[in-house]
Amino acid sequence: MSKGAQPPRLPANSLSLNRRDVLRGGGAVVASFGLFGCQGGRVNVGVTREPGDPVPVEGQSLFLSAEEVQTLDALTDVFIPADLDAGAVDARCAHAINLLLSAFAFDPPMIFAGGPFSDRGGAQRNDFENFVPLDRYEEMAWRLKIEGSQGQPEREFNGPVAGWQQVYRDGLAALNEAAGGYGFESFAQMPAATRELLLRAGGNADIEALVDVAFIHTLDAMYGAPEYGGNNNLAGWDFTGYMGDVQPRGFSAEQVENPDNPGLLDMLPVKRFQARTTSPPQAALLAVPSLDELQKIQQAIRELMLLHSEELSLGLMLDAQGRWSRVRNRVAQLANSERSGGLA
Amino acid sequence: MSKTAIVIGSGPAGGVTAWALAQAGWSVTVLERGRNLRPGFGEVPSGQLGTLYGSDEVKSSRAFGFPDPVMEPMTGRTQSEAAAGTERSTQGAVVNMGAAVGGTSMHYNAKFPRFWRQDFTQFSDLGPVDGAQMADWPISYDELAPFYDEVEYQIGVQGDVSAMPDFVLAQSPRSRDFVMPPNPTGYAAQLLADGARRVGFNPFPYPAAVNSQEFDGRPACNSCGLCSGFGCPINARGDSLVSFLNPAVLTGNVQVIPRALAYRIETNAAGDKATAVHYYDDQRVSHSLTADKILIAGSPIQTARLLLLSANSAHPNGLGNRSDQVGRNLMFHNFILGGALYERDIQSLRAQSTTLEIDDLVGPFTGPEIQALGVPYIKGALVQLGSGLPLLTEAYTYAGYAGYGLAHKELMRLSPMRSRIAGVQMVGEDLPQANNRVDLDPTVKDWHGLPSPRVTYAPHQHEKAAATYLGPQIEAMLLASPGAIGAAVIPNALISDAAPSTFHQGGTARMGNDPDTSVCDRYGRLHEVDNVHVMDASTFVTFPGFNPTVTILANALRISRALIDGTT
Repeated sequence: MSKGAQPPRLPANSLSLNRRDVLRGGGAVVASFGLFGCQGGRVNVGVTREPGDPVPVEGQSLFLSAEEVQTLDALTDVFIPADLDAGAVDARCAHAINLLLSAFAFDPPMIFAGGPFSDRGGAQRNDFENFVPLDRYEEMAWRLKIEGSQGQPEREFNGPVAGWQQVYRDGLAALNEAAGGYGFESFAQMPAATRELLLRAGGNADIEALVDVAFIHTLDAMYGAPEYGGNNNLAGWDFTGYMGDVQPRGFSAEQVENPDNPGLLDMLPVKRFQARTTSPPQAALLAVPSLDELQKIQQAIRELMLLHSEELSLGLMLDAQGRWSRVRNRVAQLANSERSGGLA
Repeated sequence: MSKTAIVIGSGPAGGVTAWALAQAGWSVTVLERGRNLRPGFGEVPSGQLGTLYGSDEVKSSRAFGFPDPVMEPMTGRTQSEAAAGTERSTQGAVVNMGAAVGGTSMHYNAKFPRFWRQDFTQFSDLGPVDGAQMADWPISYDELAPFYDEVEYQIGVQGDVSAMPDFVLAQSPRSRDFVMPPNPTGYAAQLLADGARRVGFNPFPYPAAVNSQEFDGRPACNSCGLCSGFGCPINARGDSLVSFLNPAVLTGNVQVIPRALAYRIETNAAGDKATAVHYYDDQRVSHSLTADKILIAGSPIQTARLLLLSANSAHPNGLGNRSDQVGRNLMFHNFILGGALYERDIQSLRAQSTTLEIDDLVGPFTGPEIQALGVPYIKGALVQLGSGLPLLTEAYTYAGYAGYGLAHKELMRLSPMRSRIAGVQMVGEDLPQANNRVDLDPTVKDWHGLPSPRVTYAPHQHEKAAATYLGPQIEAMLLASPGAIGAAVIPNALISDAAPSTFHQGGTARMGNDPDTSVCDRYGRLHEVDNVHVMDASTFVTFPGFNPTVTILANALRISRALIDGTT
């Protein structure tokens, strides 16, 4: 059975709640500033396998070739560029996508990570690494998505379905062909800004179909659990200050009820509403960080609020079926309607 | 005295039914279209069950514990699209709920408020509403009360009666306190609660089927925050499986068949007795079963679909559908979403979902200012205080607005939605409409070749009026929260006519005393078929603005006990 990528061991005091600062102080920020972007955009050669990567079962291989992964790296770099924080390339998103496209080369297939715990939240073992064996329904569901219907009648109950493998293969080839039209040898050879212009120019159905699935897959890889092959060194969780999965440790009552960084208001002797007073409010004097950028965000806040419920957000993710266009359509429908007829 | 039953669906309604019948010595077969995701199910006590769920957002996005949107698509359209001849405008997950042994309760946030006494007589009390099919329930709060008590103690509900406002207890009286005290209140919820109190509202701890201390051999919740949409990794939450189905199977009287999709209930020639249930297994082989009682608990859209699929010569419009109400009166909770924005990280994800509730906007609201909005009255709903969003969900949401690139990354870094917004949701009551309905899609199928369910929906003027009238009050509450630098309220009913995926559904086989206007009697029994009962929220006549699960449990238990003692 394949072994999942080993998550990094964080410093012992990483269990404290301001992990981003801890990591920065410890110098453990992801070392690479990206192969693209800041360095002027030329791609270094190809993706190699790192120790601990999942290994396909004997006789099987990963779907994308090394060259295709290189092209995909260059695409994900546009989706989530590296700046002072890690981007999709540092996080190995292309590799994670290749694992998804090659899911059935593994046993169990790399579709659903196991549970209940990783080893990041205090457990001694990492259940996430042991992917869930699929039953017949799930196998069919995921072969349909990844391989497409391939002319098989039992898969074409609602007509033929193009699989992600074909979308990626055709789309990555189309990117290189389009790059040729701009005088470059390959998409990966283009500087970052030019790659982005090429994508935004549009007009190529294969590229658009690729972007439609690849952007969502890149998000999954960047911000999801590292056992799926991305979020390398927890790069996606680091720069966003996200705790990741915290079970079985969870949070104490004090951590739930009190702010980690108390502000001025928390110092005042005003009794906050609490279901039960298990701990007194903290009285430390710490600076409240100020965020000028929030002024810009405030303009968009009404639109951002449209989906702020666990239920509607979950519905959004489920209905996406891995396609950015479905996410956009759903959000646009709400946003456009809101402009024409919301609250005054 | 009947002794065998087939239960279709293993969510809360099916689970409590199997449990009650098993205790009374019945032999029960439960058919569930999902799979079992709890190792040890049916073999060990619930405190020892394993789980394949985890705090893993990628799993959620891949529909783990849900019907696959391609294998079992749903379709949808609005009422105006239907009137214009559009067959469907969306296909996929739409408003699908969970599919697994244990149903949607395997990943719910387990909020357990009761319905109010006034909800059961809303038609008599407040009169008709144009364009809505208002009616009284054929049962009362008082009839449900002992069953509320019993399920709350069986599943383990936390809360604090002494913290509940008098006006809430007057409408939903309780004979004893909760099993357990409340969870710690999230810091974000506290800030929102302070704002609520400043505008005169009365927040109180949200009753929840979540262990705040060890119960039933299962540990206390540790507020990890990944609650709604996730299975509980530490087994701290009550649900259909741990609290009812697993104990039921351990009695030896219950068998659960996973990956069993019931597609037809067959009757005798006269049509007044069901003779068999046909289902497909995951090899797409058809099987049939027979039992004394056929108890349908598929949740409203799937239950209606099964009744429609079971049309035969005695029931040409669907099983039990002489009234033409099967599939109609489909109700959701049309949310008003809101959030207060803060300058700093208010840790909204660090709590057992929304830990506080306010009921000050339940209503009803009447008077000239309401009538000016085009309706005789408004029913609002409870408001959930203190929601957070996890990371990948946040990323998808920004993807809808900002597209890819640096703008998206900047939003992730600043994290307004996840770190700096504390959210609220008013779970707005939908009025029942004839044209909000489930039917069988004429073209789209599931992997078995069966017609997919199609949902046609639009909010009623009532829901729009409620959003218009109550939205500003919610906004005022948010702006009053200490430290809030901004607030926004999004009244979903005013924005979109699409069916909201809020995972609360009711109404497609309504109960009533008149067979001309209802599908089932007060025991969920189809008026026309002696031995078929609907156990789930399909029977709900109205859909008041409270999370429905505890009422689903209590009602199914009430019907089960009536089956056991021969009343029905």
